[in-house]
Amino acid sequence: MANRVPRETNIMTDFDIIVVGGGHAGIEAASAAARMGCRVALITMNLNKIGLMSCNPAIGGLAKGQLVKEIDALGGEMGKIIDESGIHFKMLNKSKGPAVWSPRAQADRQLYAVVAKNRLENISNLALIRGSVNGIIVNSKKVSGVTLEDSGPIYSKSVILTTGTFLNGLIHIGLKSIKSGRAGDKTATGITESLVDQGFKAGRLKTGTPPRLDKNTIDFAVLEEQLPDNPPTPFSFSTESIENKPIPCYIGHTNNKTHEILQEGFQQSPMFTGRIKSIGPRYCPSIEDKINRFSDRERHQLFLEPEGYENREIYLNGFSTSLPEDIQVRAIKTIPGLAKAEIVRLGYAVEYDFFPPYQLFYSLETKKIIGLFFAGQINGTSGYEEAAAQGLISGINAAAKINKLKGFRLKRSEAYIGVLIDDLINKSTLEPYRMFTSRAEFRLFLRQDNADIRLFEHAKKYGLLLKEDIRRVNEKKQAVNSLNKHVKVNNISARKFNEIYDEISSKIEQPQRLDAIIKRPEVNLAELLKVTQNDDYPLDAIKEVEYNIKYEGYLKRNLELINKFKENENRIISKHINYKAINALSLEARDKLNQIQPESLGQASRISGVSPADISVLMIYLEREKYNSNVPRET
Amino acid sequence: MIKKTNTIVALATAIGAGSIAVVRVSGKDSISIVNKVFIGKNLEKADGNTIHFGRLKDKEKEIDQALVSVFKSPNSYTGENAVEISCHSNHFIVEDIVSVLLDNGARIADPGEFTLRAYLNHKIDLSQAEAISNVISSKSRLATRNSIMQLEGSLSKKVKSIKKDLIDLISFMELDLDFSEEDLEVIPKEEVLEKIEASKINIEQLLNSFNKAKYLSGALEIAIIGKPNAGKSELLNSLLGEERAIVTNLPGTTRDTIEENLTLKNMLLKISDTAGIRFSKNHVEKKGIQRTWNRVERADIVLWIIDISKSINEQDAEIYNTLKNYYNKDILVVGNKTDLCFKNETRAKVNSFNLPTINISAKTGNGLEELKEMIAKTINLKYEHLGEEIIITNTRQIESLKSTFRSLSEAKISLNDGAGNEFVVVDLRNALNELGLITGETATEDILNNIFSGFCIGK
Ligand SMILES: Nc1nc2c(ncn2[C@@H]2O[C@H](COP(=O)(O)OP(=O)(O)OP(=O)(O)O)[C@@H](O)[C@H]2O)c(=O)[nH]1
Ligand SMILES: [Mg+2]
Repeated sequence: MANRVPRETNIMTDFDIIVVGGGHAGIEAASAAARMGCRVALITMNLNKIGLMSCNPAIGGLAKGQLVKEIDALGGEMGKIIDESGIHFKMLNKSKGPAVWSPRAQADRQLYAVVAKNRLENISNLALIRGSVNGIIVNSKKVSGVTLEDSGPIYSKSVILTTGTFLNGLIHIGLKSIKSGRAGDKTATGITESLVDQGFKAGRLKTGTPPRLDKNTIDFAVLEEQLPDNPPTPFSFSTESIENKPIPCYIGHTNNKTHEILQEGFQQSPMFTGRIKSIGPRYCPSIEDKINRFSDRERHQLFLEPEGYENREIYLNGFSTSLPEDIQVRAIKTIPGLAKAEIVRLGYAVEYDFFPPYQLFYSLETKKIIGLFFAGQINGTSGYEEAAAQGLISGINAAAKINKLKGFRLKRSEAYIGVLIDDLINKSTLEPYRMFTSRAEFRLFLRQDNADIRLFEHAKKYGLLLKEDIRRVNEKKQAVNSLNKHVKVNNISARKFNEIYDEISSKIEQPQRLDAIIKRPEVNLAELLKVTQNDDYPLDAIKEVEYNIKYEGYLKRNLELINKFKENENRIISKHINYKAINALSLEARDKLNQIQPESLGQASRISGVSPADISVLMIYLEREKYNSNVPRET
Repeated sequence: MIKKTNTIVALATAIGAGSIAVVRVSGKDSISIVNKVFIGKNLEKADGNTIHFGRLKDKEKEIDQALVSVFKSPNSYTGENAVEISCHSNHFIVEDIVSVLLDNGARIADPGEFTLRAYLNHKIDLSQAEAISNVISSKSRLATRNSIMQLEGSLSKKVKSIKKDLIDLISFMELDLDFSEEDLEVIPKEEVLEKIEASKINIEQLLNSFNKAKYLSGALEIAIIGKPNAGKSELLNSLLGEERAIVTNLPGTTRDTIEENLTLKNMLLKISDTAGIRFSKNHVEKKGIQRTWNRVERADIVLWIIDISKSINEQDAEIYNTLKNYYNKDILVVGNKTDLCFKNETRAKVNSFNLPTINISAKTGNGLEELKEMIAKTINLKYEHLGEEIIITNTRQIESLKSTFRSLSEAKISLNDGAGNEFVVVDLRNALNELGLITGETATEDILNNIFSGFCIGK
């Protein structure tokens, strides 16, 4: 493919869209935009590190798995890459209801990067360019390209920044610090500064990573083995089956001795000594933070995750630390099974610049500069999946803008991605933002297994799906429809039912309609269909129908909330309002509303710092405005 | 014609409730408007929070002497410029003052508009706003006391503590959904049920207090009962100070219950006169007597009238037994017709009932004051503890509490049906959102914050 800088740099003719950064956000942004027909360049410092997993070698997890499925339903890459490179697949929360199941997989780290790059190389109008971007070119509040460190500028209509932890990245190990965005890589300077010059507000966040251990120095026999699901469930709706050989993970624990040694290092902790002032994620605390805050706990659980088939590195999940080298080395040796363990790479903390995302529209385009989009950690999120989701949305929107389509926005009631972006824009992120299922108030409807039909209309409208994807989803939808009719008109005989559910469910006397009998928790629709010789329905359609009937009562209550939610979303605030002039609003609300300029009353109500009292004031204000504009004025 | 401004005026106290009436004015022009009709200091030059003595005039005519308090924005009840005029509590004076202010550019406040403005200017929160509107509308001392307690936020406090319990519970359940990979203990179903039940009880208590609130809003009930001809109607009339009920010397005069409002020692009460109790075959009278007992059922205090110029018979004993066995009421025995007894030689030995007793003459008014004192004391004794309790008087709050209660019940049913946490939490969150309507806050981020601060999570 065309992976060189085009020589001619005529204004606006190089590319439609430049994506800066080859991480998970960059991959999705570039591929979505290219698939929508735009000429796209992805610029990254090292082409061999496209899709490199800087932190733990896993994709998905609770709530994050749902994000990956949604990305996939919108034609994204992540699910397909992990399906090709995963070595340990597991459906989490399987003991609970389908709404909170989440797929997770360990990846072979190298393989993931190779697959990612290969996939991008096969997209026809996408150029991969090696280079270090050090500035954004802006003309009268409109982006027109980027400047590279050691070659000339490249021009484009839009620029998507997905720079991860690279903006002025600073790595800390003990009291030592190194300018770097990821162990072994340079930092990116210049971009933050050029944006701050344009009036952007920047902040600083922190995240951390644990040490990597040498596989050959670990005594796995004393560790608890954790086996993956067999057979594995793929992430992508288009993957038929997973071909890779599964390998296990291991569980270990720290102990008092470990904690004592770690405590010795506290005086040299960049966190505790105040060298790091930026805020890190509370849901991903360092091991020193855990023993400091929960001193009564005698042990902490650790996951030893292999980084690949060939790779000798083991990722020590749960042991994120920025304590000095000697402390890390000694503390690890106290853990059963790790007495002889050698550290291949030390754990560290990294600080980086981010831009508080209230500066963005729902499209992830910046409010300040037309055509400039931000996605991923630059917006204060953490996690590959969160980054990828934003990359996808920014890519779709950048392309939609060029193709003169309406902006793409998912509602909170439609997708985790909708929750993610809505939260980012309206809640001030004080710590790196991570998705949780509890953030999604309508999670009962946002299942990982229905993402394809849930987002189908959007995906079709923006041309994100391949022909075979469209055919597949259409088939599933048809199967769901026909099965929905089927269960309403077909019975199961008492004899058949009592036979298969003998001792499991109470006996029935009369034939029962399928949609009535499957309300019983212990009754399974697939099984009933089998005994009534209707086994031509695909399993995913059966699950969809069964869920909606079995949990109808609960879903109804949540549905009422969705309707209320939509009502407020539809109360559009169409014009720019000077909130500073509305004295009845609290000062904080005035500032926040002015800053964000919500598009609806619903959005206003979710802005942090805006209280229900402020919302009533706003409602009164809007009513009055409406009233005044309808009444002809005197004089 | 003077242009109307957005300055509002209204009487802030009830006429007749005291010797001083307060007329309140609020809005940007309130000080200048009052100044136009005030003879005394130039109020426009006065500092905020100052009081000035002077006279009010309508053109050249003097209306009344008055104390005028000046408040400057934002340091007033409404947050706007405001003036409070204290004048004599006389219907005509008050009317004159309000109308001269209207002539000078103020307009009559809509009901609750002062409070609305205070609320819009963030001087008070929602539950305070509602408490204030109750102060304004409450006519009795006890109600005022309770309204003030709401103002001080004891309702908010109680609701917040229920909210905190719910947030803790939801956090536990969310933990199990969002962090199930972690090495954490799961909250057992029995404990969840227990916690839901505890919150339900707390809410129920608040809801019950609504029933008590009827005492405070002037719905405290007194029933006058007794044998025919004991003088029940006479007593009602003399307590009311008007000839409300028909009084004759024929036993069985009153056939139906008569209910009236009575202000007694600053308390607003409901008082009823009833049909005399005796064995009767007359259908109408029987019905009336049934109503008497229904009244007893509803009443908080029963005044049992006995004609002490006559001896006690089985009928009295029967009334006593019925009261004792079937009704758990505060009973005051009122010996009536002392004027007929020579030197307090009462024939009926009313003391023998072992109940608080007082002798009066409904006809001459002798002992009436003491009876009133006694009633007041009984009420105070009975409801003194209300001072420590929160009383819900507002229907919106009641509705929110009821919805909360319903959602908690639904959560319980879901749990017992074996529904997963993700379903139960929907109900619990609904409950939480409903409570948020009372205190005016949402709890969206609270749950995650609670999880992060309370549990060792994260890999
Ligand atoms: N001397 C005297 N007569 C009284 C007194 N109170 C009531 N009476 C008279 O007793 C008679 C009955 O009084 P009411 O008030 O009608 O009696 P009541 O209890 O309402 O009787 P019913 O309605 O028939 O049940 C009337 O003639 C009253 O004037 C009192 O204190 N002294
Ligand atoms: Mg009578």
